[in-house]
Amino acid sequence: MPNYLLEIGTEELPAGFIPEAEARLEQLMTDGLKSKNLSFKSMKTMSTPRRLTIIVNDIAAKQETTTTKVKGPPADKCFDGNGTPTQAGSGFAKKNNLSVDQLEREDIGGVTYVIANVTTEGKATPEVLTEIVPKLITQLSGERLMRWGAYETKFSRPIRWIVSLLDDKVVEFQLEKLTAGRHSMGHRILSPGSVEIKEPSEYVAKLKEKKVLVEPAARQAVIEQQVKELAQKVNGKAKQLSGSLLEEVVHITEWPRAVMGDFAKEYLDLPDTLIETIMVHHQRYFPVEKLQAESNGNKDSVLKKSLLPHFITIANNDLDDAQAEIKQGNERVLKARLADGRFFYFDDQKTKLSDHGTALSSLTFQEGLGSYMSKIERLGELANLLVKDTHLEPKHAEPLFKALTLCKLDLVTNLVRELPELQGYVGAWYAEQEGQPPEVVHAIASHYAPRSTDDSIPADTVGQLASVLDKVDNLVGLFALGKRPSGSSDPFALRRQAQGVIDVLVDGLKEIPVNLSTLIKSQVTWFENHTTLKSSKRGFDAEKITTELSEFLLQRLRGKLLDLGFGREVVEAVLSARDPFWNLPNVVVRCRATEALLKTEEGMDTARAGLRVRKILGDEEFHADFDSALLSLDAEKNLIGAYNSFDENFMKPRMKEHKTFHTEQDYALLENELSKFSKPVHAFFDGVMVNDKDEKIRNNRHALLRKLDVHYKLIADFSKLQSLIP
Amino acid sequence: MQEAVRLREEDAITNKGLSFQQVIQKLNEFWGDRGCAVMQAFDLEKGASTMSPGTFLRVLGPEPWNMACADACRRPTDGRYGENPNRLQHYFQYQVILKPSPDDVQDVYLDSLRALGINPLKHDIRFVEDNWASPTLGAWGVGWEVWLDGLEVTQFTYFQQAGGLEVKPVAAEITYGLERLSMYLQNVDNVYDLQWNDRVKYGELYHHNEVEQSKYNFEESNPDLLKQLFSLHQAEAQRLIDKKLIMPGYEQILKCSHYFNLLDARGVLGRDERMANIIKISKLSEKIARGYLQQRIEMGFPLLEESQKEEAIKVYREKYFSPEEK
Repeated sequence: MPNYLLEIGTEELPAGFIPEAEARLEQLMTDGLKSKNLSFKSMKTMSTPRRLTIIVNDIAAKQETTTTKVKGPPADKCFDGNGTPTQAGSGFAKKNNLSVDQLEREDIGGVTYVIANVTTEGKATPEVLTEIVPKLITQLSGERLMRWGAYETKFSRPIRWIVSLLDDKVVEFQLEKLTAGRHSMGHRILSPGSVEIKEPSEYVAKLKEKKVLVEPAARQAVIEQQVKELAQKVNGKAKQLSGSLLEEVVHITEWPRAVMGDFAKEYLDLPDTLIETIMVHHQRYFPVEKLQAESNGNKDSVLKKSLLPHFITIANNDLDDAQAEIKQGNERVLKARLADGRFFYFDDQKTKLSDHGTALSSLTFQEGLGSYMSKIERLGELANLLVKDTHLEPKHAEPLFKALTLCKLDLVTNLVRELPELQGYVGAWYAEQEGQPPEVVHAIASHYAPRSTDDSIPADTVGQLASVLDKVDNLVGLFALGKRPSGSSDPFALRRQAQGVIDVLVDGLKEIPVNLSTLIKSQVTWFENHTTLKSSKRGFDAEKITTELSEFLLQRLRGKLLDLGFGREVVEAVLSARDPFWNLPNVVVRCRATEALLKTEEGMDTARAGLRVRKILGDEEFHADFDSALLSLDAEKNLIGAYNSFDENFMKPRMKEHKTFHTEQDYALLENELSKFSKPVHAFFDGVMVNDKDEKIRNNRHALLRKLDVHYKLIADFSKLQSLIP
Repeated sequence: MQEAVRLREEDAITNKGLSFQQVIQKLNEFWGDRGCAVMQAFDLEKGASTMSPGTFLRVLGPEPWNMACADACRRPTDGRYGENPNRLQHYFQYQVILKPSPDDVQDVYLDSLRALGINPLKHDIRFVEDNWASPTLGAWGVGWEVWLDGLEVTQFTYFQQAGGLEVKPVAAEITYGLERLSMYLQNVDNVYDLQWNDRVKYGELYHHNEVEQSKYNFEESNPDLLKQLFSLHQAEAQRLIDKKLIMPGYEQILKCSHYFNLLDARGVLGRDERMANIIKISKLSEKIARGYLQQRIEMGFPLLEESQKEEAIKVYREKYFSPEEK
């Protein structure tokens, strides 16, 4: 069966667009072929900065022939009493290209209708491709699509040629002035001009002759190998040879060659992160580090020095003649940037970090939310609350307060003005030079983490605490300003910050459960009392801000729990039992406890009993006191007996010893105790009319059930598990 | 013609290290040969050549427009008292506008580098994603930074919008950083060491200017006066727009923009005030853009091919005149 090749030839596409465009191309092609009943065996996408390619293997030569049933008017409208076709009958037949006697009849809902079985002969594949491919190209959406020249088409960058080949035949179509053909283009500089592709199978090889490695994986392999070899030559190893830098250089080259350059040793006085940021973010160079970091006495230092005075850049030109110029040119650019960085690094330190306070008072945090100085004051107050709430030990509390007073001061240094992505790190370097303790220094650097979606949470406890406080303050402040993200627009990265809060609380601060609800409430109140927001036109709706932000955070938490592999029903049951923000690590433990419960027959029965209790109580607000004198039936007496024994023998002793439910073992114990209710609960529901006519009795029975409900809900709201409980 | 170009390129390649003025001459010659009107610099302060009328106004509407020009630009905040080898508050851009953007625009650009003696086979030349937006001009576009062995030497932008209006057909804007390019060609690390010609250095012409202007921008400018000037020019721009005096009105906007930049350099603008001023300028820019387009419609799109005029005028009149203006 034939193969189909589509190459969309473009000007240099944004590196970030290419991987998602490849995925989308495959999806659109699959959907397009399926919708047209064209079968195929497999697909493969490829790309370079100048082309997006897909090869469909073993595509059917023509569409499958299909028969569709078309319902016509009722039979008695189509044929008169003698069975002679009426105008409606012959009209319907004609419309479907059938003769009247080919029409069939079918009873639908008690009425007999005329039916036409319409057979559609499959179209030949080239004809179908001509229909779907041009549409597919224009559907390859991305961010910031553009027009070019006098074209109407929108794409990520201008489309300059199209190859469209079904085996050795061109599948022709037009995209405005462009005609699809069989000519691709070689490397822009090393092998310019067009190259004829005879058929899809020779595509990769033909382009290789024209100095284009069209498979990203092939370029990646070349880059990785060459970078490693070059690093080895100077007894070092390349850093960041994975992740986003590697992915980016793969997508900005067609014919890569790694080139090593050098820089003066004097720049190694600068912190590694400064050098690396300049290399990676600004120049897309791989830094090279020593094979074994020398111990320079202080392994905790943020001023680690493990780099070698070399860098590796990936050129898109492999000619030996060019290498000296490429090396020298890149060295010069890096030198200029390092010289700038060095100037600011030493110049900044002529002023003590804490002396930047005045400048910070005139740096606006957000219009309407005051300066960064007032943000620092706010964070201090919030930290007070947290310290009290969590009984935080002084070994964490002291550096936390110190770090919060220092963590924003670097925003007014020249180095951060120059390289904003270094915020936090710069403050940490200067703080360390000024002799601040390591806990403080690390927290200044790490409190911005996670800094990107692929960054991790702060590794240090103080940094984790500072990170949560800072992010909660950002979130509340911006929600108060009405700047919550909408659609794809999230200019303040609030989604990432919300995820950061959840991740730190769930994964980081397991031993220091922070009550997120309290923090939010405190910040909302602060803004309500201190800022100019309340006098604005919008007014200050504390409740709305709290509800919206809580829902926003809850979405992130829900997502995280699902990512951890918990079932949707389990997650809902745990989250809705009570305020999940009270203690986030506990939410995870309860999810595990709930899943464990559903694994045994006995546990399933506990859940079933809990569900029955929960369902009959519903959302009622009315709470009557329980009066045991009003019990009359054995089933209710048995139930209160079981409850009292649970209360006396299990709950009360635990409470006396201040034992809360914390670990999975705690919950296993609780589940075991609750299982003892199952029989009496079922007997109660089977034998007692809960909603008695007498209001007093009815209310009393609800009050009895509420005693149980409270304890089931220590784990989860079992009514949310209904679909899992047979 | 092609032979002539080739010979000139070879000449350039053998002629190592063009002087600053030769770079401008070569580019003038190159783009002049390709149908561009080689203009002289626009005589008011602006942060980038994009703001010169030859770009900002001429990219509007359906008329073709091909222009090249070495243009002086000022960014007061970039002043470094002449102490930084790479940064200047007054510098030169070489600006090219090709509208509609030709299909082979990247190749033509590479030819312009060849004309300067840069043989792409001996270098690593890259088109790296870079999108551009100017809130004060209500303009945005997408394109690349062009890297020459890791050095950004050119901004390449397909204009999508200017003055809040769609740019259609799309114009390609090619902006060479003349100092960087020349430093590369002459192999010097300090901008002031550039040979302007074979006798005079860049430093001789501009170093003292940088020292004095930096002192003015950061220390001696009078913020109250600057604020007054900003307001005066803003009011004057509005008055002129109302009188349909588009060019004089636009010049007033450029004045606003320059005084805004000077205020910014003094660091006396709070975040709110800063944003408020940007919005003021962008509103004026949008009015000017519309006013300019209306003028061109009334002039009958002189640069458009005769056969296209009638239809274009009809369509644009429908779209860009309100019922009462018609």
